[in-house]
Amino acid sequence: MSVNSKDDFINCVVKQVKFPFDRKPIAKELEDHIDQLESFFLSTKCSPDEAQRKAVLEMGDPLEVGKSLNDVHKPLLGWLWIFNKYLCILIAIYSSILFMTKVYTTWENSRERTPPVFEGESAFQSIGIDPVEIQIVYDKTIYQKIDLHCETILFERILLNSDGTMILLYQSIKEFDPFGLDVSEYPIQNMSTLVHSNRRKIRFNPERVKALEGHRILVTQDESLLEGEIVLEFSHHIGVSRITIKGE
Amino acid sequence: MDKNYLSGSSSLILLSLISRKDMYGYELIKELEILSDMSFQFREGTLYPILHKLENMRWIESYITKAETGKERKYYKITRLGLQQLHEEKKKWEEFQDSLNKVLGGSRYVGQF
Repeated sequence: MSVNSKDDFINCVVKQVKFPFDRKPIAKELEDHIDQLESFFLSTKCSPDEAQRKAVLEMGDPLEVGKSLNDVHKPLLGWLWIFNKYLCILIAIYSSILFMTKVYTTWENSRERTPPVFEGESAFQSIGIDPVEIQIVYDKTIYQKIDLHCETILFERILLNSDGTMILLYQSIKEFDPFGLDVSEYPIQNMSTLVHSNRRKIRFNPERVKALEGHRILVTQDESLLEGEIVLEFSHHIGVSRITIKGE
Repeated sequence: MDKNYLSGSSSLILLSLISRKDMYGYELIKELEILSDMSFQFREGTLYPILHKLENMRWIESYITKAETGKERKYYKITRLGLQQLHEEKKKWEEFQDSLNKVLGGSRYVGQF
């Protein structure tokens, strides 16, 4: 097959290439080659038309060139390559989002959050107490910190309902650790004991540890909590910390 | 020169040229013509399927830069894999040349009794 113009030659070649994404770069590369041949023929005093005709002729049979190029640019491999490329991009975006979320969460956890402003009733409702049974008899901000290895526990607020249900709000402030190397968390519900002024020891209900608006709550129920002084004993690797959370 | 001589050793020739410096298609053809005293000439469009095949084999890789005309130009450079392939093909070619010379020269191996 013979063609005379540069565009006809290029069109004829790329038509043979079945993988559409490779057509444009092939066309550009061939065009650059023909342009250089054309410049060469122009420098030999050919007319522009003659120079282009000769340049195209030098390139050979466009059908033959196109078919050989198509053999190299297999559509299946091309599509697989495109698919893999986009898959890699998606995975990269997804992992960056995951990483950024992780960094943000750990950054959030490493800051002290503002004290809870919600009504005490909503805290009792969140642990499943019927609103009609909620009658708060004690509500006090504590703000007591215990510094542990890589973590600070900040006890924030104590709430007591008339039925003896006690809610202790706290937050855990972790060290900034974007790579998540330290995943340990103190099981505060197991390490804490409430000591009543009558020397009675009351433990927290391990099943009722909840999160509430970025804060955590420990729950227990004992009618004796309504009267007398309560001290929280918190045992950790350094020793035992004692905080008076309710006065007489 | 007959095209058939060239087609069998095209990858050896192209890898050898590209191993000297990064080149683009037209430059490769002209270099080949100069180095072979115009003995190696072929239809220039047929160069690209061979170059793209070498690229698929990861023996060469390409990059785009702006030419003096301001247009984009695709250059080819040899890879480490390509250099290994060139070394092997050169060795094979020398062995072939050796065998051919023996046949043409008529020399024969005579075993010892």
